[in-house]
Formats: sequence, C-alpha cells, structure tokens
Amino acid sequence: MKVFIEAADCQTCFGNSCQTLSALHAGRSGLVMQPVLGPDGGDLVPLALRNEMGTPIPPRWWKDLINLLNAIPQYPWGTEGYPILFASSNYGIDSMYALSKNPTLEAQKSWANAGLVLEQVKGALNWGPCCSSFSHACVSAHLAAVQGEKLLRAKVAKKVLLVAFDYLGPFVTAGFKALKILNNGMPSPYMNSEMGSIGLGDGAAWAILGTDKTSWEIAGSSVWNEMYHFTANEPEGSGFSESLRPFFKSFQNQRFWVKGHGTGTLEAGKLECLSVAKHFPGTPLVSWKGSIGHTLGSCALVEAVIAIRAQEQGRIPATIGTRHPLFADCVATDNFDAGAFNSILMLCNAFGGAHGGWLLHYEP
Amino acid sequence: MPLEVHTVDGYCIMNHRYIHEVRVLLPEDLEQELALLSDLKSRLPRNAARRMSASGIMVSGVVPDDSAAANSFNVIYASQFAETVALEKYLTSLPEASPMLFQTSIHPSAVEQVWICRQRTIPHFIPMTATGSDSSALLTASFEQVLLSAGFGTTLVLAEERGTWMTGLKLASDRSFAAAIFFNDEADGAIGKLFCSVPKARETKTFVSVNSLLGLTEAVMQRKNIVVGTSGFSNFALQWN
Repeated sequence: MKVFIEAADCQTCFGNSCQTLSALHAGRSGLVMQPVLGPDGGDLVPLALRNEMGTPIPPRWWKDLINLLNAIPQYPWGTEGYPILFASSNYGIDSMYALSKNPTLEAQKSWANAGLVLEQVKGALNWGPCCSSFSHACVSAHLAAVQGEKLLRAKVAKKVLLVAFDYLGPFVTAGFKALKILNNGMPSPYMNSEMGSIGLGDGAAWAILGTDKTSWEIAGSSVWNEMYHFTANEPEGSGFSESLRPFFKSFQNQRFWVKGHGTGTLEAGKLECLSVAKHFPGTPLVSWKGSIGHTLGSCALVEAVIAIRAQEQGRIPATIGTRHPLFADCVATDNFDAGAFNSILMLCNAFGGAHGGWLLHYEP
Repeated sequence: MPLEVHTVDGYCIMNHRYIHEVRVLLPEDLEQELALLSDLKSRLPRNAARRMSASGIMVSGVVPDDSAAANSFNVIYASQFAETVALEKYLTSLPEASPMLFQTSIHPSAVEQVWICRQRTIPHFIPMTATGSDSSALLTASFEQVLLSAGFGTTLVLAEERGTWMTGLKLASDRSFAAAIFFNDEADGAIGKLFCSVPKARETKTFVSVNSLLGLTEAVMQRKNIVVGTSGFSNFALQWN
C-alpha cells in the first residue's frame, strides 16, 4: 500500500507556506532580538513570533491557530477511520506559567495542560474524540507522521490528520536560554564557529495523509533514540548514522536533497552535516531555522510543508543566516534548482538524542 | 491464530500481543510513596538518582535493568500530566531558570532519565500524552500503539507523579504510580494477552471497563481482565491466563 500526503499547509512568522517560501527565497530572517520573557523582560534573544508573547485568555495563539485549521478539507475528523494525531511539546505551558505566578486566575485553568488545550481545539472545530497526542520534544511532529502512516498501512484509518503547533512562551525561551544555546547571537546553522546560537519561532502546520494518489508519496521513515545524554549526542554520531541507515538504499535510486534539522548548535550541527556528507555524498543540505527559528515540536511538519512547496515551485531556498567556514561543502548557501531532484529527505532531532528521518518522493 | 479486528473497510489482520512481564508500583499514601522512592533511589547510581524525578525513579522500579522490558525495541510511554514536580519547580523559579529543571520537566523525561542512566538505546520510542480532560483516549491510543508496533518486543510504560500546587488546581495527579507491561509475539510462557475486541467490547462478568491510566494500573495489579474503548477507536481487551 502506498501512502501519500494529500494536502498540507503551515504557518510561520512570515505567514502561510507560500509566504514563508517567498521570504526564504529572498534570504529574509524573521528572527528579531526581543526580551526572553516577553512582557516580563529579560535579556534580548532571537525570536520569530506570530504575535507578542503574553498570557491573555484565550491564548495569544488561539485565533491564529484556528484560522489555519479552519482551512483543512472537511472530513469527519476524530471519528472512526479519520483519526487526528496531534504533536507538540508545549501545549498549555503559557497558562501554567500564568498560574504559577497567580493561582487565582480562573480563566487560565481551562487551558493549562495538554489535554485541556486539545479539548478546546477539538471543541472549536467540532472534531471527534478519536485522536492521539505525541509529545517527544522537537521530533514530536515527525513521530506523529510516522504513526499516521502506520495507521493507514494497518487499515485502521482511511485518512489521517496531522496537526502540530508550538507557540513560544517564557517556559521554553527561558529554558533554552538557561541551556545557553539561546543567547544574544543569531543562528548560523552548520557554520564552524566559536559559539553556537539558536533562534526560536512560532510554528503550526497540518497535513492529511491518505491513500489517494497525489504527487507526494511517503517513501520511507526512520526513528532512533540514542539515550546517551539529555542534551548532547553520542560523540561519534552513531544516532545520526542509525537514523540515516534506512535511506542508504534510496540514495542509490532516488535523487534527493536534504532538509536538515540545523538549529545552529555546534556539536549537533557538525554531526548532522558530516553524517549527510559521508552517507550521501554530493547531496545538498539546507536548514531554514536561521530564518523562521526553531519551531520546536512542530518543526518537522512546518518545515516539511515548506520543503514540499519549494520542490513544487522548482526552487529550493538556501541555508539562511550561515556563512563560511562550514562543517562540510554539502551545505547549500545559495538557492538551487529543484529540477535535478525527485525526493526530499527531511531530518529532525530532539533531547535525549532522538532522531527522525522522512523521505518524500515527488512525481509531478 | 491472529484475531480479526474491525477496520474501516471491513476486516483485516492486526496482530494481538502476548504479555510476558508486568510490574506495578502504586503506593497507597504519601508515607508509603516516600519509603518506596527512598528504597528505589538507593538502588540507582547516586549521581543519576540525585537528578531524577519521582516518576523517573518509579519507572526505574517497574523496568528493572535486567528485565525484558528494559531491552525492548519499542517503548510506548503514556502520561497525562508528565513531569509535574519538575515543571512546578521550574515555573516558580523563573526568571532564574534552572537548565536541569528545564530538561527534566519536558515530556518524556521520566523514561529518558532511566534509559540514559543505563546508556541503552530505544530504537522506537513513542511518548504520548492526553488529548482531553481525562486519560481515557490516551489509554486507548496507547493500546492501539502496542498493536501497531512491529515485533521484537514492546514495553508500555505508564507513570504519573503527585503534584503540589498544580494538584491543588486539578492540573496534576493526586497520586504517584507507575506500571510497565512487556509484550511480544510469543505465546509460550505468556501470562496474558492484549487484543482488539470483536464485537465492540463491553463490560461483562469477566471483563471490567477501564477508562484511566490509574484504573489500568489498579486493574493490572489485581490481574483483572479489562476492556478499553473510546469512540472512534477500536476496542481493546486485556486478558490474563
């Protein structure tokens, strides 16, 4: 059985997938230096937001997200045969943060954990209860996509709706700053420099997986969890190699470019870059997190939708924000023609040495 | 012989899974919980134990190092509230954020704490959380994942930890517990099995209906046969030999 992406869109600081792609083609960065705690102040760090951080009710992301999800083609989502797979790492955190400062804020209590947030989303869109939520930090959306494919192959679903969103709040911005990778520098993915820096961004995306033939077939996927260290990878890069291994055969018969994870951290960036160069010689590698920021649990799906649009439009945006010296020559620093390629390999990583790989085959 | 299960276009084969190991920790009160945590902590490397959450420590107890569960190819982790205490402490510490509390507070840290401590990879790791105000759909979705996972062994881990101020706001569990169930495809030596229920499962004299992670943990501890179902999902049953 073949599984296809039947429809998809996303939202970043620049707007929808087409607007984001235009910005990336132009080499624009949506990252702006702003206080790490939003209205509560703090040091300036690079963030790419849809609107100002804060803790209003409904949450600042509510209208924005519902507008995006309202465009999803109508099926009986959340009922038998039409499951919804959610992915995030931070649902409800803004309200928890507000309640940690003032526990009497009654209105926040209906939004203050993952289940409550999804209850609100399902209610607003009249979706049914048949849904799952995958929460595996920055590989969450990838994991949901892999499970969606499994549901279709097992014939327990006719169509699967993937929904991923992560809007920034002080919980996550302060956390990454405490880890010292969110700092006063702009991200330069895959650059061999003295200091690594990431930027964070708001992101949301949806995709429908199904068996009706479209131009986009899911040609393979991988997951791997090193469990070597919470925030560092096994130094020999074994996790990267394991997550790429399922695609070695595809490399012989498909022509793909690689949309990397490329946050701007040094060690993980170097290992990813060198792994791609070693196992897939001559294959261009790009990262867009130097423009839209790292959209965390949603990043795999947000960036997959942008990659799809880029391939369809025939021009792949370069890695934004980086410069020489690079970890390897495979890093694309100029936009390039998509015509030479018929597939995209998309990679993502997360805490705990989690890895994901997703190969999409394009047949116009 | 594989069981038939209801699917969207009629019937197709979806493997059942046999249960080979079960471990449950369900302290009755705070005093018992503290004693249990202290005992489990004493068996862990001191440096690791110092950084671990209550749910991480309890997961180490239900997945002992030498168990089949600890070497499972697939690990499915279900928690409605996840790392409650680390999250509570981290949030109240802002703006002086602790990097350790930040990483500990992120789902699925409890499982990561244990597997990282043992330096053991998990090829397929599927951490899940709630999709509603209770854990009924999470429970059903977890069983679905067990049946969807390819062979080589699958461990389902459940864990919650007692919160403090979040529990007062009904945003966290009021009880700590953990359970681990190890499944594979071998009938020999099995102590029970998980399967899709046809026709739609319903409570009978021999099967009781369960709709929460705590309910499953209690039922598993007492070796009760159970059925689990949420609208839109297949119905699942867990039966002991």
